[in-house]
Amino acid sequence: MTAATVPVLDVEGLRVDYPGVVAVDNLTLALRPGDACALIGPNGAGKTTTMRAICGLNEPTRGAVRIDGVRLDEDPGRFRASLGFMPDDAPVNPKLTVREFLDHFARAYNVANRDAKVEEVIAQVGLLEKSDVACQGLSRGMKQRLILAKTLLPDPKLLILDEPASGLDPISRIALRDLILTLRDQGRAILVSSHILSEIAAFCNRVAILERGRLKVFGDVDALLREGTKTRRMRLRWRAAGAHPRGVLEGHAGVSAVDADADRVEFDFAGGEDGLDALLAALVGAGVRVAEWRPMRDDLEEILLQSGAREVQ
Amino acid sequence: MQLAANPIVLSAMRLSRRGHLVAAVIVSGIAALLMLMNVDELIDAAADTRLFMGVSILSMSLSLQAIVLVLGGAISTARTVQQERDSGLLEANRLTPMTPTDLLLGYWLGPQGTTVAASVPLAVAGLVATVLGGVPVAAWLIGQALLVSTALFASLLAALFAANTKTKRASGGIVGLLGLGALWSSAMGPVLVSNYLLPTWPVFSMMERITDDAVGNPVAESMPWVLIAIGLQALLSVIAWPAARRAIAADPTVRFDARWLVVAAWAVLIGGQVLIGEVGPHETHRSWLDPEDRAMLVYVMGGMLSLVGLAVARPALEDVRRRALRAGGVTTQWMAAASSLPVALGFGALLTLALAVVGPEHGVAMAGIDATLAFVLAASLLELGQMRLGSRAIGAFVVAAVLLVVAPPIAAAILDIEALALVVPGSIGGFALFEPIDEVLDHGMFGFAVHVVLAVAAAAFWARGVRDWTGRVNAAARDGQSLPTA
Repeated sequence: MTAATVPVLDVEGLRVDYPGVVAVDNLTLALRPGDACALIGPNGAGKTTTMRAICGLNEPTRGAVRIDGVRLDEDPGRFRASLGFMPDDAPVNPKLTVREFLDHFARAYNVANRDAKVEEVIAQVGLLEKSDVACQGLSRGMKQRLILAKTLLPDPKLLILDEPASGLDPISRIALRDLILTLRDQGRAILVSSHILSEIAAFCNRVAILERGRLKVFGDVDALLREGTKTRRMRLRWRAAGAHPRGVLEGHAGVSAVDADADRVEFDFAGGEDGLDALLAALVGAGVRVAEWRPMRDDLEEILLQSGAREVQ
Repeated sequence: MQLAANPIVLSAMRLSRRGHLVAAVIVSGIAALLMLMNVDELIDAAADTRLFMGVSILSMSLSLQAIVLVLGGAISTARTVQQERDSGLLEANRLTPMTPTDLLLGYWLGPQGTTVAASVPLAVAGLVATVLGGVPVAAWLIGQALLVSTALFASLLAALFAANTKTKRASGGIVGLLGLGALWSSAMGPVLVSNYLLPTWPVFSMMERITDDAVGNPVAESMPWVLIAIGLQALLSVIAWPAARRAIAADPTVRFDARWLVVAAWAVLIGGQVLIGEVGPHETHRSWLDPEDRAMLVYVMGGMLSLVGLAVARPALEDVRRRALRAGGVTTQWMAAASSLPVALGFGALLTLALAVVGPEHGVAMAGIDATLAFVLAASLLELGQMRLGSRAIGAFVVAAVLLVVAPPIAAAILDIEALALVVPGSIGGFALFEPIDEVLDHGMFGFAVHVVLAVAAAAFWARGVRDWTGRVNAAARDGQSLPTA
């Protein structure tokens, strides 16, 4: 296997047991450079346990985790330097300043040009004005950004982000999304979990759905939508100046459960992405002036619901 | 990674500089000045009085330093570990390329900055009094060595316990126990028990010995005992090191078995006591009384520590469970390695050895065998309970142990049959150490026979329990199910 084809993250047959409970069972997945994978599932599905086991914080009962081709027991230093983990609870030392906190981890990661790198990541997460403020004076959102800065210090090839947007205000969420997109485009692999799927749908090209510790679905978002979507709820809004869409919709074989108002209509559509494209073309061709055309749910929500994953009782 | 470049140490130093460092140094500086306020009298005094004054101030300064360094250091370490564990910073540090040794060194030594700085004025006051009072400087030097050694040892234990306990209250309780250990001999006076708190005992009782010796004897006489104490602390630290590394760094390379740590620590502690008691010049000076008392104490302390060790450490059945899942089945070899029975036999052998050194000859064999039977009984019941009852096993064990200890004396009193009192497991040993062998044979044979029967029956039930349990584990591992909880 050449360096280019070595997955950044390679999880093989991972199992994690708690007393009396199989928290993660026979999980196998791989991420390539530039992959951003949403790890989703209902409460108790094993998302956080999976992330912690990948990082080496939970000892797997069996199975192997390789980051950049290396197992933790083979080369702990390289394994950890290739990995950036952002937990959901933003652990910061309240009495250290932002700069001191990052300096601590820059030393721990043995970062070259430490001071410059610290300034770089502070700027990257937009905390320049707070760099000499003690961490206890930061808001929860700022602490999240500080932890993200810490995560970026070693230039990790794999980022594992557990609920990264929790506690962030809308502006910070947008900034975080843009930053993650940039990181993905730089070729880093990203494994991210969130209960708010619309937040991560914008940058995830892959999805892994867990249910009761088992991997129920794993693959490319587009491919899963193409293959797996049986019915999607769609919304269409049109301008009054154009034709009414009812005729086209009622005459189309994939359309059902039509619910129309004066200037908009919602309907179920069966037929995949290509079928949707064809329906839109038919509408436009029939003189309908389309003002809004979108699925009622995000892609990830659609895949999650169709997977049938259920919460652990 | 060099200690000076250790980020945990550097961050702790940053925090101590902006925390209570200045206040702590000012308070200890005032205490040091108060001790030296009569320095002009010290200079002008006659030679004998001057020596006495010098020794008094040295003794005071060493005691205060002990409180600051040993208690303060242990508390600082435990608080830092507990706070960083609860906040998630400990895990954040674990995820960096720092080695387990770097992590342990950082959490062990990093928080000591404030206490070390605060002890400096007190050390200076002690040195000034030593020089002006004509006390041999060696007394001050060995006092400092003993203090540093004890502080390092206590902090290592604090790190180990704080990382292992799950709640703030537990961490606080353990640090409190450490403190009690340090202060016990001072608070209780020269009592027998103080000798068994060897790791922290020297801080006060040996300081007193050093300063006493400085008045009338060459300081060199104290040196071997200080070196023995430091050596034992170092040995216990070496034993505790892998456990602390595993606890702080979650080091997967350490296959740590808590049960054997208890055995090793017990061996060092009791061995140290025996060594000091047998070959030291202070047999009657502090607390070592006549040989029978010593043997009895070794027996009782050994028994208590053994039961505590077995109850706290518990058999490593959880480890067997995990390994079974990895390999698809349990082997007899694993069960033998995880069982507490070898630990019980180890305790029995060590206790017999210790008694052989200090005890009356005729009682040694009886006491050793009876203790071993008691430990086998305890280990079998504990392990059987864990296989059958899971987490409720410890509670059931405690109830059973209390019944076994309380019921026989009550029955003996009601029925007026003295031999019944010796049905308490392990009691024959204590009896045999005191009484002539004829008495033991007259009164103890019934109890001894009961102990043999109980131990054999418990071992038989244990073997059956192991067979059932391994069968269930193997079946679950084969079917890919969650394994039965141990």
